[in-house]
Formats: sequence, structure tokens, C-alpha cells
Amino acid sequence: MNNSQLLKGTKKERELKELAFLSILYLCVTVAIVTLMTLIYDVVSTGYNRLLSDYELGLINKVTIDNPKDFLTSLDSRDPLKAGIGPAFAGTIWLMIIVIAATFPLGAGAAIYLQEFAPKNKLTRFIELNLTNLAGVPSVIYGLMGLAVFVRLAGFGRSVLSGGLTLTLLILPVVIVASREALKAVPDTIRQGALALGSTRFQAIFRQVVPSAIPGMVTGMVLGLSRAIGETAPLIFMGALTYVNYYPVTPLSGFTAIPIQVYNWVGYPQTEWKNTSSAGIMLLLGLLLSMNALALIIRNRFEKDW
Amino acid sequence: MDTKSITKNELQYVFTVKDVSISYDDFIAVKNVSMDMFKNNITAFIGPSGCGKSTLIRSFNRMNDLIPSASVQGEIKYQGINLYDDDVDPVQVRRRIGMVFQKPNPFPKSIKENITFGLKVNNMTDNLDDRIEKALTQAALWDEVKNNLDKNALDLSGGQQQRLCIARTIAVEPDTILMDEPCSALDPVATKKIEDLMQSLVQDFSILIVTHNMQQASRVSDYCAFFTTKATEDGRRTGELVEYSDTKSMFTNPSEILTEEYISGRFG
Amino acid sequence: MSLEEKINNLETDLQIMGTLVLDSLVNAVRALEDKDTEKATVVIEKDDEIDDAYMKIDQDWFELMATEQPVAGDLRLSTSILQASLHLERLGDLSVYLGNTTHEIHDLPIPESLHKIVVEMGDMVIDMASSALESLKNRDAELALSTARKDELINSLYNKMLNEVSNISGNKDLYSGLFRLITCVRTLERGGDHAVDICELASFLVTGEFKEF
Repeated sequence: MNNSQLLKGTKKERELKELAFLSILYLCVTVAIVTLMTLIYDVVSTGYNRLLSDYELGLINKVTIDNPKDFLTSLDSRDPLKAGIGPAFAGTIWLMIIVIAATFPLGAGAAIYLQEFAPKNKLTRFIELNLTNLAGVPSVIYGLMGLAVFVRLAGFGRSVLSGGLTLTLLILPVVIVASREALKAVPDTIRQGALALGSTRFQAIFRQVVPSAIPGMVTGMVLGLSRAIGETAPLIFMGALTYVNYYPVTPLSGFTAIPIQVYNWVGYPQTEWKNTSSAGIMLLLGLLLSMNALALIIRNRFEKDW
Repeated sequence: MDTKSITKNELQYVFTVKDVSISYDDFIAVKNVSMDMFKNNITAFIGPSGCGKSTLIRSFNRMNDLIPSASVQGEIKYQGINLYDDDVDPVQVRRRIGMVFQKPNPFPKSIKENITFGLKVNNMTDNLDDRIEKALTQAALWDEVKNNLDKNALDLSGGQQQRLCIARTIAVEPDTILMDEPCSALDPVATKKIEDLMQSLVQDFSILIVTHNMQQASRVSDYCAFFTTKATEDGRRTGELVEYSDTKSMFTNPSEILTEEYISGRFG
Repeated sequence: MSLEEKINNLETDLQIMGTLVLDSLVNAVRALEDKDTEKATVVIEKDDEIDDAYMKIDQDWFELMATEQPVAGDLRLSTSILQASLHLERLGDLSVYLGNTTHEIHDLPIPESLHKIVVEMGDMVIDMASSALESLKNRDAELALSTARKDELINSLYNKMLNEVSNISGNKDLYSGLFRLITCVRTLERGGDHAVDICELASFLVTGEFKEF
């Protein structure tokens, strides 16, 4: 081989192979994105009709919808054009608040205990193993459990409180795991540095480790929350009402949630319901998008590069 | 093990170590160490990897307590008090005996907060600003950061971060500072600054330093303890103290052959 | 103490030793000139101080090497100081020799012309040693060179001495004194060599290259 061949080697062949491989990867990405875009387009184009445009009902009637605010604040109705997502929206908000209030302390507390205090023995390993398993349990099971424990045993009835607590249990394993990861990401040198200054273990953990891990824990919680608001099955099981024409007033009120409402509307035969359901889905997507964006902002602004 | 006689007027010891062995479960990391360390001097621990220097130094401020499998036999006395007595509070021990680590580990907070953390947990919150200035001045960092105390500590250079770690350690007014390879993550310029800093700190503190760098030990320390590893029956290696003497003697005329070999680079 | 301080102390010690040695040389040559045995005795006793000064420099240099491992300029300087101190120690021994000679010739008849030559050579060695030390202290390469050249003068004095001796030979009474003066001159010549060696060190410090003068 002369020098020129030594330097050139198999560059051309390699470049072709790389190009082929990259093309396949691009194809995968395209498929995923195009599918998603199609879905969104479908939802938006039909939901838009319910929310905004003049709507032609047949050739004779022309109906004017006033504004999207109607949709957000109206109660459910037999008329697809009047049916609104108000109570469901309120129900979802109530659920979110209850889930946040219950998950954050429980999730953070459990994660802190497991990561910082639990002795490394068989019992701890057992707990950790089961935690990972729980994250994979079908959400329906949680619904059944919610029914038995919160609705019946605790006597909360088919209330938004029971719903919120059930969802809490659902996302708790994920939140605990995410929080633990955030705590693990704090280097041990920080703990040691704090202890070496004469702090107690509690001071080191609660004044240095946890504050550094909070962005990660919050991100984990927001992501868990975005899963929770999309859950339908457990809520149905423990009795979220499907036809609701009032706003929940106390934690013990009956309630419904956006996914359930949409599920309901989709079941009606009239074609106009499609637009209404799409409008509901748009709202849900909007909420999910905002929460994920929030998680991203928190992560980028506050999480530390160790 | 040989201890050369030291000049007669240096009679004050900060640590007296008698027959100390430290093991993790059944593995003996370092055994049968006996030595006395002098106040207001710099004592260096040198030796190859795995000879137990870091393990030993961590037993002086009870950081080994954090490792459940670690156990300490023998007697380590600090100014006459056995550090491992039942009624000795490890938290207090760590306040009196500070530690600076190999990789600078400032808290991810402002420079000011790095120093106030130690002060707050030790209830030394009077005259905070004065204490902060004093600590940073003693650590030769004040001039570089005085206009910027709210800057995040992680934005400082490696050498500055390490000096900050030293500052927060001395802010809580210990009388001894343990340093576990404090310069190994730093460039030569930053290293020299830390070495100069040690020379000035030793007037007020007793300093114990673990170092891999023999030249550093010879430049900086007053006394030197050389450790090595010896193979045990089950094939593992246990650390032992080979020679402990004043630095000048150790580097001009060591008494043990092993010391001579290690210092002149003929080891292994 | 920092490295710079340690090396500065080493150089200061050399200068102190240099002063001791020059004083010794001056007293020794004057004692020889005036046949002053008391002065000669003082010179001989003071050699202990010079030896102590040498031992201190030797010890400090040794520890400096072991603990600081100096390089480049620091290495050249500290090692030159050590070598210079060795030459100074020999010059100290020269003074002792002159002192002993003073005692020995005290009662012996010696030709005045030869006595003068010896004293002249002694003064020359003092001058060379003093300039050599100054050139080292001030890192003055020109002074070092010109001082080294004066060694020729010592050589010509030596030759002059030999001529005088051949003129005087014949008078057996003078032989003892003569013998001592001749060996004294040999020793003084070596003293001049030591001064030249110090000049070489001074030049080395300035240029970084070692040259024989």
C-alpha cells in the first residue's frame, strides 16, 4: 500500500455506511413526529370548530359560537354545541391540588428516608424492589384500591378527595424514584463537607443535600402530575361521575375530570360530539404541554451540573 | 517502626496514637500504628496507594463513623482525650478538628453562604461579617472575592474553591486541620498558593496532610510518617507505619530501607 | 521558610564565611610580615570558626537539596555557594599555614628580599580572594575574569622567587628559613588557584556555562 492509500483508507465506504444508517434513524424520527403531528392536527382542526368558528349545521342552520370561554365555563349538556368542560376542568384542578399536597411531602419524605437514612439491609432492599414494581402496576388496580380504602373504608365517598388520594398512590412510586435519583445526584462530597464542619446528619441533609436536590424532585413531581391528570380508568373505577352539572365545592364533593368527560362525549353517536371531544382533548393537551414545559424550565434554570 | 528523637523543646502533642488498627468488616486496612503528633506543626503522611493513610486520617475526626463496616481498635487521643470514648460527641470532634478534601467541594451556594453554614450549625452567628472576612483573609482569598461575596462558589477556579473550603473550615475555629491530598486536583500555581497558605496557617493550627507528592511533603512538612503495604496470609494488603521522623532526617538519611526506596523512587 | 529565604540565608552565610577568611588572611600575612607570633596564634585558633561556618553551609545545602529539590538558577546558585565555601575553607587552612610558618621563622635568619617577596605574594592572594568574593556577590563576570588573570602575577612572583634563591644559595645558615619560605610560596600559589576557582564560579553564575580560567 502506498502512502496515499494508507491515508485514504476506507473513508468512502465508511461514509456511505454512515449515511445509510443516519437515513434510517431520520426515518424513525420522521415516523414518530409525523404520527404525532397528524394526531394533533386532527384534534385541533375539529376542536377548533367547537371553540371558535361559525358552525354550519346542515345547509339550513348556521350557528354562531360566542367564544371559547363558553366551552371552558359551561356545564355539560345534551346539546353538543352547548356542552362545556367547566366542571371537569374544575375537577381536574381540584385533583391536581390534592395530588400535589399529598404527593410532595409523602414522596419527598420517603425518598429522603430511603436515600439518606435507611440502613442497607434486606428490608430496605425489599422496599426498594417493590417500589419499582409498583410503578408498573396497571392504574385500574389503583382504582380498585381507591374504591376499597378511600371511598368505603375511610368513608370519603365518591369524592374528589378520594380521587386525588388514589391518583397520589398511583404516581407516588414514580415520584419517589425520581426524587431518590435527585438526591443520589448530589455528590457524597457535599454531605461529607457539611459533616466535616461539625453539622449533625440532619443539618447536613436538610440544609445542604435536600435544597440541592429540590429542582430534581420538583421536576419528578411535575412529570408524575402530568401522568396523573391523564388517568381515566382509576377514577372511573372509584366512581367519578360521568354526567356532572355542578362544580365541586368541597373536597368531599362529587366530581369528574377532563379525561372522563372526553371519554363520555366520544361515546355519543352524533357527529357534532366529535368536535366537542376534540376541544376537551385540546384543553388536556394544553395542560400537559404547560406542565412539561414547566418541568423543563425548572430543570434548566435550577438543576445543578455536578 | 522507628521514631527519631525530636528536639527537646517540642513536647506538646495534638494527637497521641497507640496501637491503632482500622478494619472494614474483616479486612484490616491499616494496623498497629503508634505515633505522636506535635501541635502547631505540619505532619505529612506519605506512602503508596492503599497503605491506609486516608483511612487513618479520617479516624482522627471520626469521619470513618459514616462507613458502617469500619471499626477502630486502639487508642487515639486528642489533647489527652480518647476520641472514641462513649461520651465523646462526633459532631463536636468535627468542629474542633476540621477537614479539607481532595477534590474541592464547596456547597453550590454563594461564597458567603459557604462560610455561614458552618457558623450557623455551630451557633457562632455573632459578627457574621467579621468572621467571614477573617476566615477569607486567613485563607488568602479575601482580596480576590471581597467585592463579590454573593457569587456562586462553583464559579470560582479550582484553586480558589479549595481556598474557600479551607476558609469555611477555619471559620468555625478548630485547632487542627486535616488535609486529605488537598492539592492533587490543582495545577502547580494553585498548589503553590495552598502550600504557602499552609505555612502561614500553621502558626494558629496543627496541620496533618496526606499527600502522594513526596516533594510536597519534603517542602512543606515538619514531620513525616511513611506508610507502606504488606501482604497478609489471605493475599490482601494491610497498611503499616514504617518510619516517623522529622522531615529533614527522613529525606537526608532515613533509617529504614523501605523509606529510602520509596523516597528515591525505587519502589516496585 | 520559603525556598528563596533559604537560598538567601545560604548566600549570607557564605559572605559571613568570606569575611572570616579574609580577616584571617590579612592577619596571617601581617603576622608573617612583622614576625608577630601572637597574631599568628590568634589566626590559628580562629580556624575553628571558619570550619564551623563551612560545616553550616555544607549541612544547610544538603538539607536544601533534600527538601526543596531546587532547579535552574536556584540549583546553580546553591551548588556554587557550596563549592565556593570549600575553596574558602582551603584559604582558611592557608592562613593557618602562614601562621605556623610565622612561628617557625621567628628565630631563623631569613634573607630579607625573599621575605618581601613572600609578603607581596600574600597580599596578592588577599587581593585576589577579596575580588573573587566580590565578583561572586555582585555577579560581576568582568571582575571575575580580571581577577583570575592576576594569577599570572603570582606566577611571575614565583619565578622571581626562584631566581633570588639561586642567587643566595651557598649560605648554609639560611637553608632552614629558605626552605620554609619556599614551601610557603607554594602554598600561597595554591591559594591563588582557589581564588581563581571562586572567579570561575562567579562567571558560571552569570553565564550559566562553566569555563576554566
